[in-house]
Amino acid sequence: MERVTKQAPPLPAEQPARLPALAEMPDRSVTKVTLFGGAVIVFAILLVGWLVYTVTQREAVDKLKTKDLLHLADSIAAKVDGQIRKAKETSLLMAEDPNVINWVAGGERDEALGAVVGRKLTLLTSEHGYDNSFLVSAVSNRYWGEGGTVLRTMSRSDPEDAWFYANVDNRKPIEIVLDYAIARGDTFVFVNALIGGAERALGETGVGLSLKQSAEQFQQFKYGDKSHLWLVDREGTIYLSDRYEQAGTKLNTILPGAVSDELFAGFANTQVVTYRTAQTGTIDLISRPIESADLDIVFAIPRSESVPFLHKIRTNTLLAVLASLLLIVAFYFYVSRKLADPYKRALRHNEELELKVAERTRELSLKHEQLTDGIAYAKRIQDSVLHSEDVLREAFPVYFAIRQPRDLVGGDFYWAKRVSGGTLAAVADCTGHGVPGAFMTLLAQSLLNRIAEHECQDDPARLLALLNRHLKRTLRQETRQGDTDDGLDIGLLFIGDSHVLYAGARCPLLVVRGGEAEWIEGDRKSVGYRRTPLEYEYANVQLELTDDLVLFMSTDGWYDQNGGANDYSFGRTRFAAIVAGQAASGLENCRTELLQQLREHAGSKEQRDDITVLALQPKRKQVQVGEATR
Amino acid sequence: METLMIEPSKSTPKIHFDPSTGKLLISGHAYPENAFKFFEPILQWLDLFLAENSAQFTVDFELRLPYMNTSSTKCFMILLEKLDDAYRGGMQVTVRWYYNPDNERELECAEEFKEDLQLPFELIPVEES
Repeated sequence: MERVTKQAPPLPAEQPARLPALAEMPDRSVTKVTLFGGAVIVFAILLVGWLVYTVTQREAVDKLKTKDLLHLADSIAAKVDGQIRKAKETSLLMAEDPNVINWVAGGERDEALGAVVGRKLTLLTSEHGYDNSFLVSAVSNRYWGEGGTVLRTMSRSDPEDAWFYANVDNRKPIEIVLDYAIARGDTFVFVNALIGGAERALGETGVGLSLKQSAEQFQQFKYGDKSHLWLVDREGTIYLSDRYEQAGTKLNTILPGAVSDELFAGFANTQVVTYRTAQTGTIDLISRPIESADLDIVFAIPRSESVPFLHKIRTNTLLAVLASLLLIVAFYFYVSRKLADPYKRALRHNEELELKVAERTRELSLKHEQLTDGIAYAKRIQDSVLHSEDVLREAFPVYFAIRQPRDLVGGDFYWAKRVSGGTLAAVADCTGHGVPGAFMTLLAQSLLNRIAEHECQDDPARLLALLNRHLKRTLRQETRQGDTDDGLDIGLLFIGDSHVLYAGARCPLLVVRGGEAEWIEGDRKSVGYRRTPLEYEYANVQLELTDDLVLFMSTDGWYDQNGGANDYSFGRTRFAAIVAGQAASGLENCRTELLQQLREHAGSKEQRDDITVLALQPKRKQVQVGEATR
Repeated sequence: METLMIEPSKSTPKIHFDPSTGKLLISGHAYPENAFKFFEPILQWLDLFLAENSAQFTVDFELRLPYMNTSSTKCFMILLEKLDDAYRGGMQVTVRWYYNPDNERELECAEEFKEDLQLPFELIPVEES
């Protein structure tokens, strides 16, 4: 067999793999994140903007309807009410004035009273702000005017005077009458008070207001240009309007039918009605009764006038939303880019590291391969040196030998040598396993061979003693102290024709005879170690060689193998039990069973130590093939 | 002197030597590839400890070693011999080996150690999974 020198193949000239263009690489995921984040932010801002505007608008309208309009109506009603009350009061005062009553009752003859009354009438218009004042006597039918003079005489037959006679006849203490004189471009409201009250009913006196002026006064109540104000009665007739020309018309000609119906339905109370038409937009209406007369204030305001600021809010909110969006999105992109950069860098760095790792791994596996190759070659050497198969086969028809190093090479071995008078067989466990153990095996085997050839052939005890001495000398372990302390445990047999001799150094012999297994311990001092004296003498044990005698020797690797549920060692006891149990079925079955149980016990656990077993049945004649493994 | 603390590994045991109490603990498996390398600092520590402490000190050596390989056994023997020497020199030393009765080899291993030593060596079975 030629020596093959293996050389490591030259490393191919390789460039590290080019990294893919980074532009596309991480951008996809970063872009996705960026877009998604941006979308979320945009949505959030829009939502907030919309919410703000909607809530504000709703609250403003709510406030308008429940507070502002009411206050407005209240204040208008108060003013109008005040005016009417004042007019009523004035008229009533006139009507109840004893001077007036007496003068009218006396047919207006009393000049002194007449002067007083006349002066009153004049003052009403000149000083108190009424447009006209009057006094109509039911006694004389004369109509006195604000000048204090008679303007005309009333007549029952004249339809224009019907109002007078109706009031007198009905004895209504006070009444408000509208007098439309559209042709004149003016309308008057007269407050008529019954002179002398309902008991006397002497005539009517009162004041009149020009609607035109009141209408102009009404203007000040208005909210804006498009809001309108009316004073209506229970039938919907407009008494007063900010557009003066509407006086005398019905409200339901101005407002949509459904709306005015709704209004009239609840005229006795304050109510707010909102309606919408295409031309006008949204209009809020409020109607409020006036206590002093059977009249209602109706105020109509377009929504655009009452809450004009809502438009501003909407526009501004929109602008703010857009501005925020732009700002945030811009910021977000900027930040993302800043983050994406280090992210990209980290990825690249990672890639580079991975390349480095791959490189190192390659180098390491090359080295490892070299080592393994070396050891594999060493194994060939060890195997050939330790080869004892032929001797065993020739000497013992029935045997088996198991050699299972833990690694490629190991520290255990079995050995056999034909000598004159018989055969020597041994099982040995050198210090260590793997490479150091292998060294020892070669040394030990070499010594065994030399001693058996030249010095001692049939006395195991003496052979071991010689081995001890030689080994100690070779390893320079003759003294107690030193750098190394190596040696071996060994069980050695001499099998002659009729007897067997055994000597052991911490390697017991298991004897099976008649179905029973028995341990023979041997010596406690291992071979070669410093603690074993140089001149130590081992002892032989003699056994009778019978047909059924079976001998087992094993290194402690088998007994020490851990496994099972509790991770305990296999143990000598179990080994002996199996061997005893298999005594009847033959050595081959015994071997199978032992290996099977060991395998089961070890399970997934690694082999802990080198294993070597030698089993001999020296006297059996039948040929049974034993096997060595590996 | 400092406490010697060595964390256990797959093939080496846990070492906890406390000089203030005299309690020395070795617990776990011992089958390192190079037993000398592992045991060297431990032996050095022990030398120092035994030198520094007078005979009055009580050393309590607790062992739980389900398995040790041959080279570890040798180193361990050296360690025990040091303690034995100290004992014969007058120091109070006790060795207590806690073994699992189902683990045959452990007891055998412990007994073998005991044979060669004079110091008090207790073998205490522990029922444990």
